[in-house]
Amino acid sequence: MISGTIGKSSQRSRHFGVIAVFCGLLLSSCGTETAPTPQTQSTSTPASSASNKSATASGATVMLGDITRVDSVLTAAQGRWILVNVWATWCRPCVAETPELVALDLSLNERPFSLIGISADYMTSPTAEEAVNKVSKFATQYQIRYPNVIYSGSLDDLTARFSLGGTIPTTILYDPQGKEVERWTGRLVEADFTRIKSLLS
Amino acid sequence: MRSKWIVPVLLLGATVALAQPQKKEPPGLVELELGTPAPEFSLPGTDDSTHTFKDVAGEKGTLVVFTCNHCPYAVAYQKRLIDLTAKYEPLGIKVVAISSNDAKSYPDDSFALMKVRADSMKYNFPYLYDESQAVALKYGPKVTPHVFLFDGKGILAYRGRIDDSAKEHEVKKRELVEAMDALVGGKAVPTASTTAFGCSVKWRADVLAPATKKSSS
Repeated sequence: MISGTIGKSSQRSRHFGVIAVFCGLLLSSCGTETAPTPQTQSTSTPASSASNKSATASGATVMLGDITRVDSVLTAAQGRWILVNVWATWCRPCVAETPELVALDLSLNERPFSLIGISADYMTSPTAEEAVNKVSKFATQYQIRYPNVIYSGSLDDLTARFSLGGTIPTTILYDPQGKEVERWTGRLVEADFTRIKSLLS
Repeated sequence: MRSKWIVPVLLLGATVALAQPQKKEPPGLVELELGTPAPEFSLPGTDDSTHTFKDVAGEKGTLVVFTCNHCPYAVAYQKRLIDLTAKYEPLGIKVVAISSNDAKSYPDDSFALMKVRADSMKYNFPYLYDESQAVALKYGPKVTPHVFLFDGKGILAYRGRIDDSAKEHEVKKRELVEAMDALVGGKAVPTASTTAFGCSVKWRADVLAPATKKSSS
């Protein structure tokens, strides 16, 4: 099951390269939208959103992509509460909070709520394939069900989109209107999860 | 009426903070402001000698890099720091790296392993250990790697990231190099401040502890 995913991922990552270059040319326009729900540009890449996903054994979607891909995932969740978690498999506080994020995702299954992971693994991996493999394995191991974008675009686009301070993990909650409600830097603790649930209720 | 809740709430807050010290930054941590003089320090290096800012200061400038052993994002920049040192030291800018991470919670960042790293990677700059984190508290790095570039007079001229990609072949913006070139050429630094991206600085529980008291009161 896992090896099947890996095989697919490596095939696909060749496409990603092309898409990344394509989007690189569009970066000036990609980076100027307001977080978190850009209106239009995802419509320009319908092919990419259909063909570059890989599903892990736990059912999570793991995708490699730049800000356009991030935006298309955000757009797909438009009208719902969105919790964005910027993380990496090599980040210990990120790993530590993952089981609780998975539990939160499960417990809010019935609510108009989407958890979206943005992984920084590509940035530190020698190849895109390795990053996809690492995150896919991790997603399976931790039974992650929510989508993850392994970010391969420009750092400026990412920090601009989410007004990042530079530290991971950073977790941001947006209301169904796309307005930021609250953000947390560093490991989420029990009180934070309680707070998220109370904000949603 | 409300007062009976204060004590339990404070206790709960304290318990959570103690259990998860990595969550918060030390109280009042501020990234050093541009235009301010370099805070002095005196720290042991992996070369077993003590280094102060004055010792490591270059004629045209001084680059202070907060980094560490364990963080893959910081590791990705090791070679670039070596290259920067080789290129800019002859031009008058010296480089010094400081690790302030709590080695208790991140054993890879111990002084002993810093020595191993400096040897194996053949660091051409001093690699200093800020065990008490007193120096980090003065400079205010948020992440590793986080750089502070001072001019020849020891005034902060640039702070933030090294460049815009941990993958060297994907770098498009080199704000630090531009700033170093400006100092060497006696020109104004084009971009003086950027957001550093990386692993959070791993603060010691006893450095974070005052935060709990202050923020709860």
